[in-house]
Amino acid sequence: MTPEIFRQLAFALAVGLGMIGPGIGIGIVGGAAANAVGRNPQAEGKIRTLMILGIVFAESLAIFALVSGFIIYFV
Amino acid sequence: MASDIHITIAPETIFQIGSFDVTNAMLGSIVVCTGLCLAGIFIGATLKKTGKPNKIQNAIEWFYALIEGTTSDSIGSLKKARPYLGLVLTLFLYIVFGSWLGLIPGILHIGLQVTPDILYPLFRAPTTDLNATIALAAIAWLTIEYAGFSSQGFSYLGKFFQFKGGLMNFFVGIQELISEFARLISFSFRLFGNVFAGEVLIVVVLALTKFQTNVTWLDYVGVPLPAAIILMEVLVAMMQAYVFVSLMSVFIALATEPAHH
Repeated sequence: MTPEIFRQLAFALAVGLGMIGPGIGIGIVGGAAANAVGRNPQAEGKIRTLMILGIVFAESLAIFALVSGFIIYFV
Repeated sequence: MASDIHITIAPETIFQIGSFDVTNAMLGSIVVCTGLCLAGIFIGATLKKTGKPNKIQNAIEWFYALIEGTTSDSIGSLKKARPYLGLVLTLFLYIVFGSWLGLIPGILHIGLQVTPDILYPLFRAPTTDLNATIALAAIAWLTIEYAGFSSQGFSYLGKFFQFKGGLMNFFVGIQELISEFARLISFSFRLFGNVFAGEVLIVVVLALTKFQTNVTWLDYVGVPLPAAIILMEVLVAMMQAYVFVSLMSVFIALATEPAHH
């Protein structure tokens, strides 16, 4: 088992496991936004803004996992 | 196969001025800034104040209204948002065009041939350079702190060091301080990760069609293959710029609202 193999394994694990949480989180935010628009269609603009904000925070955690993977593999 | 692809997180040095390394991300940044300035000068000279606007002016006005609307909605009123509007618009334009630079087909093939195998691209999107994204995050962070201090004076620090209200409030204040600094990391890494990952994806898909032995014109047949990915990255760049700007506006709004006690 050379270090190169461990590097590739670590990259794959970091990225794969790191995407589970944000994936679920983004799904929850999207579902809540859809529910909110269903209850109150007039507030669609404000809800869309809040949804984008929530998705971005969750997605940035996924990006942290991806960047950690890159650093493991390339540095 | 992995050795054919040349991907580095740190940008490569193209030449040196004295002891200062000039990297390809710096050259890309110069191209973006020069392009934006020239576009500003030439398009600004043709702007009409009355009458029906032409298409470019229409697009620019739509974009300006979008950013101004987002910022003033977050901060509260247009009057309070006005000091930050210039910076916000410029950051958006720099991030968008800085990320789009790496998506121009073929731009990563122009470069210095360092060894027979490795080509250093001459221009690299500045937002794929962690130095540039940390600088942008620092600018945004300093603007947020300036907004806090200029609207509340030194009592802005009272948000972080809360000595009244018991021990719980003190720890809440410390946690707010930590999350204030975490914004630097989150701003920079979000932008860097999105744009850099996009470029890596494009390079990897391009490398999938590469011939192993002599490089001929057939190597370039695969260039249109990542067209869908490049389109996705175009949208991602616009979204990331919008997110950077709207997040900055939201944090400015949070910093300028007086403490609730």
